[in-house]
Amino acid sequence: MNVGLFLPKVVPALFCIVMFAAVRRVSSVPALRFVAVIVAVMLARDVLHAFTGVISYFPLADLVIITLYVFWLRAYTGRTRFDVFYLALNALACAAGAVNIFIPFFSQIEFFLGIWLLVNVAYFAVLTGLVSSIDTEKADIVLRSRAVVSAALFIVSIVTLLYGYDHPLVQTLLLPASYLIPGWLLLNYNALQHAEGAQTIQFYSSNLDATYGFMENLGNAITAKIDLSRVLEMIITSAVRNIGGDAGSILMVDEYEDILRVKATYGIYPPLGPVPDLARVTPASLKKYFAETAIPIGQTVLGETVQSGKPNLIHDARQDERMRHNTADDILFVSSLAAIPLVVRNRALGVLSVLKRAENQYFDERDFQHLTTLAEYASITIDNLYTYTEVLEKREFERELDIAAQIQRKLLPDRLPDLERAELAVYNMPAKGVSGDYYDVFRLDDDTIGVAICDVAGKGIPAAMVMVMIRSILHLIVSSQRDAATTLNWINRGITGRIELDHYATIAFLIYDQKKREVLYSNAAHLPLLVHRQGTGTTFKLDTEGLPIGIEQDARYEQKRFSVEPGDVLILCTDGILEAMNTSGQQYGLGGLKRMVEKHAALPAADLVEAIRGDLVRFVGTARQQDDQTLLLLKAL
Amino acid sequence: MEIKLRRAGTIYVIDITGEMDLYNAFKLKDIVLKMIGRQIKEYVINLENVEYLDSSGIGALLSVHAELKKRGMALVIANVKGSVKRVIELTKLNGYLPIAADVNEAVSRIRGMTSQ
Repeated sequence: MNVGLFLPKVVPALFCIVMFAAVRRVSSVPALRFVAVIVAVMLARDVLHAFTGVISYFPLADLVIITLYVFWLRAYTGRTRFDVFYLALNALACAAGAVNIFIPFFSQIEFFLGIWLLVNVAYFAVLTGLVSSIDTEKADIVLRSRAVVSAALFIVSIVTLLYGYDHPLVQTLLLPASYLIPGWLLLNYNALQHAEGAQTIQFYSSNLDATYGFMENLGNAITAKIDLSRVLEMIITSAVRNIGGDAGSILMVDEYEDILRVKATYGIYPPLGPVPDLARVTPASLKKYFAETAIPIGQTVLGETVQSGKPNLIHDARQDERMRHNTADDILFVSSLAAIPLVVRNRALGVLSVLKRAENQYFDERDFQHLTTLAEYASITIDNLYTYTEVLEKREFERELDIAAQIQRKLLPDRLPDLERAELAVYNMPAKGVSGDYYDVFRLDDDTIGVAICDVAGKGIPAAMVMVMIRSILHLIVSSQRDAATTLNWINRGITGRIELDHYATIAFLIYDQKKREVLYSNAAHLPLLVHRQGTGTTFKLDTEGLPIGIEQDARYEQKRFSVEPGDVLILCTDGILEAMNTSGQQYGLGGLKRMVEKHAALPAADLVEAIRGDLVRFVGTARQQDDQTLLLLKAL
Repeated sequence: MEIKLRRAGTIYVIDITGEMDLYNAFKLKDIVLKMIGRQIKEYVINLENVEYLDSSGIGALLSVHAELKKRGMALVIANVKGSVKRVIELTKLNGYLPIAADVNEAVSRIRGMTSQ
């Protein structure tokens, strides 16, 4: 046993082990495994030599080691098909060397293996020389260490070839020093880890700064006034400045069509596709063209980003087919592009993109990360803004409905006139916050009354105003001298053209002569009149032709005149009664109303209304009232 | 309610889905006004997938109809059926609003109008 030859190798071997442990603690790249195995093989080789004194293992071990170096490199560049062949050749060489130790058959084998080792080192040197940062991921470690490692391997293999492994200086100096080759690699790993750590810390802190600045600006923009376009302008300005771009844009998906519309731009953002010559003339015309041209989802890099919902980083526009319109040296030139989808409510609703437009200026991975953070924050902001605006609009709308409901309540008559030969009764229940129904009863002379029932479409103050107009006209023009159809005609002429068509109204108007028991009925598209005949116990519908009020100036209204008998009932109602729904979605309907009228027709009008109301309430149960309900009854005596 | 647009040549088909009521009928007016601003002149409103239409929905159809008529632009409403048809009939507007059985008929009717 020759401990003396082994001792000089202990210190550098220990150094390698310590370095390996240090590097390994921070991060473990797969390639590091090969370095560890290299050190292990070297140690095994030297321990074996110390115990046996056999020198013939050295060329074999070194062949294994150089093979490991090649595979270490392959961990970065990726393997090729030739590697299998290379491995087979080396395995063959090793096998020949191993066989020769026990059954010597070729005396010059050590020289031959030495030459072969040299070829291997040359191969390794060429392979590392071909590595560049463009085709290899994380090439830093290779670039940093290739010169020293290749040179050292050359020296070791040439010296051992010339002087043999058993030369004292080789054993006491060269081989211990050769441990410094993997040691050097590990040192470089360590240095890179430190540099990366520093970079990461710097990145996170600058990213945080940018995000804070961005949030602060955005906060100001929002508190000033809720204006989405202003907020978007703010977002794109910050984004471009933060990552050092030359131009930026935000496009949002159209509410109704599958296209993107430009919502905000910064700088001169050229369209990412063909542009007509006329638009290219000046930067201003280009800007206008971009702002006004919608992009179908899926087209150009921007449309694609929204369609896929995935970010696009185009480091060098010249290398990307999709950017072919923007790589000529003209007004459309783009050097580098980053486009991030804006995801709101789990849908890509827009795209934020920033460009570099100067020759040889490119975005890097870090700019991209910055922009992604900003885009995420922008998405949240837009989402919040949408929600806030919705809540605000809803609240305003509800307040308006309340006011309108108050107006409406004041328009309804406090009480109905008492008649000698007829009974009147009414049930009116406005839906919460919603108003649209109106009814009125006028005493025209001693014997005649006018009865109106009306439903204005749409709700809120505009609808209430239409109701006020109709009521005013009615109160002005109703008279015993004017028949029902003429009354509706006049109302229609007074209203049409002065209201929005959304607030058209349906009105039924009837004049009742209690002495003659005669009815004159005219309808402007309201629900038909129901007539219950006490004599037959049946109920039928009565209607006349005519458009709703407020649509056509020259709409014509018809009227029908008929007599009733004592005990007959006339029923006017709004659709809130017929469409009243129970929890299983069934409507009360004409059937429900008719059934109750026919069953309780003998009751006084007030009791009959009360019976129907009770039945309706029971029918609806816990379901929410959707619409105003008005039911007006006239019973002939 | 959801509104989607598609094109049949120069004609825009507005597909409406869901309930068209007090709370959203104004959207139809908004979009048509915007489209008028973009020089679109021919419209089909497709009610095939409308489950419910209230008086506000009818109001929106009426005002879109009036707005387009005033400007000499074309509108046909397609697929009026079921409860939507009942509401329109009840309001006596079936003779007033331009109604076609389906989108194809609506499109060919507009083409007929403009080729005259």
